[in-house]
Amino acid sequence: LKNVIKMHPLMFFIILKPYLLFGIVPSMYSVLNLFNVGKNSEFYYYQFFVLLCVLLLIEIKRKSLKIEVFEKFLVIKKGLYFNNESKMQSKITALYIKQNPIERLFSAKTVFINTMSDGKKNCEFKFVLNMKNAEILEEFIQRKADLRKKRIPFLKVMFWVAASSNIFEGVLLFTPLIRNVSKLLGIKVYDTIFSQITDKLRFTDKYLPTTVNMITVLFVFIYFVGFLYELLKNLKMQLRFDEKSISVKSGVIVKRKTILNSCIKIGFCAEQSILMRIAGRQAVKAITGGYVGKFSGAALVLPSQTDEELKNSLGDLFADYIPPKSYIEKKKAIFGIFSAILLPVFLSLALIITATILILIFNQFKRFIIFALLGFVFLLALYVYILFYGYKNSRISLEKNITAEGTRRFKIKRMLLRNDRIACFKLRQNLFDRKRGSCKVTLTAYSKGVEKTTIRWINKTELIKNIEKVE
Amino acid sequence: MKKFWQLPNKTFLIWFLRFLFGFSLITFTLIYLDFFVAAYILAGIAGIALIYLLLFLLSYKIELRSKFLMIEKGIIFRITLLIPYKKIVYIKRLKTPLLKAFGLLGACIKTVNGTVFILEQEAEFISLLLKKIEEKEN
Repeated sequence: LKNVIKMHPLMFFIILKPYLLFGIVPSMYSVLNLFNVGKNSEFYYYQFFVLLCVLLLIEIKRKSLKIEVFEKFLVIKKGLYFNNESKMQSKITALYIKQNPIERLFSAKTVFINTMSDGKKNCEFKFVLNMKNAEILEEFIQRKADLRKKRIPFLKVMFWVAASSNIFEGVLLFTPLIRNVSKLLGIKVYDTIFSQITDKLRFTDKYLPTTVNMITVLFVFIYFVGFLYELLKNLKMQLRFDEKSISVKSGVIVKRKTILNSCIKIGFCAEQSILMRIAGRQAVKAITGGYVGKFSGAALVLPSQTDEELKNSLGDLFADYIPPKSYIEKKKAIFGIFSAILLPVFLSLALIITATILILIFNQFKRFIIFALLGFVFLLALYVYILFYGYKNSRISLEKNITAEGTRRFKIKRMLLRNDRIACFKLRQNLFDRKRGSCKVTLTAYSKGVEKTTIRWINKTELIKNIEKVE
Repeated sequence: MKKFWQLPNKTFLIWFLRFLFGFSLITFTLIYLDFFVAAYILAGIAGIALIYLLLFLLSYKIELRSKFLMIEKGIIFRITLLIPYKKIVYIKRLKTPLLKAFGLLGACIKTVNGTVFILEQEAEFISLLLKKIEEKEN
């Protein structure tokens, strides 16, 4: 036994959280009434007593929680009367450490421990520890003495955030915030915002309708909120790695650190959004086993790399990396595109005919019908382009390492894995595919929820033959 | 040793019995509640569903390859799952009174990727699969 780690007092609130809605909040009413002299009754005393018992039990639970750190494994102990022991050896995949300003004030850190088990949407263990104890756990996963450091330049982080900032994150942050504040203040905030935007953009009305202007401004604003949030999350990014593990540290207000255990054996995944493709750059994630929730399993390690930079960095991070010699053929696949667009083409033809008839019958809807038709044709052209884009940019090679490149709309995803890290190959064939003998293959790395990539129009027989050779 | 497994005839019978039980339960309830039109519509849908079920069961194939388990299924979209034996964590055998009566076994394969259900097969298949996994473990 090397160390015994006890919980920080702030852990009390983490244990309290599940009881909050049914146990604590109803009892608070009685506590408030206890101070109101005229309303005292036995019932309130009883509720107050129950509340005290619950709080006491939570404190006992907190006190009973401890982590024993041995040379090669961890033991997590819970409970006083019903002892619950979890022993973990080398199956810890990731450690996620977070410190918000309140925790910084009390010199505490929240630590999430994840293992190789699958399917769960929440992390395996969550503790609040003091700084010293959190460092002991960090040291258990990643020995600090032999680490190499790499600082990611600010400009690279900013470019990645700008190119991949998710607009929906902005929506998620922005909408409830505004709604709740406006409810509290009793102001019709949305009406005010909309009227303000309409007033300010009146000069553009002759070019575009007001609604279009309003939506554009809102989207830009939401994008900006998303951008700012992601930037603060990823500022001051620093990598530390050795032959077995890799850790990523980032954040300004809330500091985050993800340590992936043995991730070098598992693999890397490079993502390229359309903006990044134009700039000839890609973001690289290190991936490991276990579920991938909010906290771990994958961590962004290189935010914006050119192909050449990536080759050099991979040499450092992925010691076994050998570039693929050849890829599995997809000769027949070009016909796949034609068969895939067959149905939309028929549909659009039917639509054109219907539109012409409608124009002839109802003369007044001419503009609307032409506008709708043009929109549909544009969508069809986009769909065809996405298909060709997918055909051009997807390929798979099953050699010593598995290299798979797949597309999702305009996003390219490259996966680089050791062949024993593939958990499942899922081949999907539609009627046309079956006739041609091609298939769509989805690779899943190690366990449920971990990064996946899909490659279309691959020759099925050849693929199965190759898989058999590799495995 | 048999490498290629399709569903035995008994499995078809079991699924037909299950289907019949579910269908008759809903239909008689609808008739009892005087929803005759709904009962007719349901009968039509059930007819199509029965054909689909039959075709699905016919398309279901399992192959014990040298290094991985291959499951093929589906009518319009054919799905092939290739699961390496090494990635199988455990196998749960499912036995109900109905399956016991027909001498069949259902199985639930827990892999690192999730759970895969195997439709009712003869007991011999499960023991062969276990043997394969054991070989790979060693």
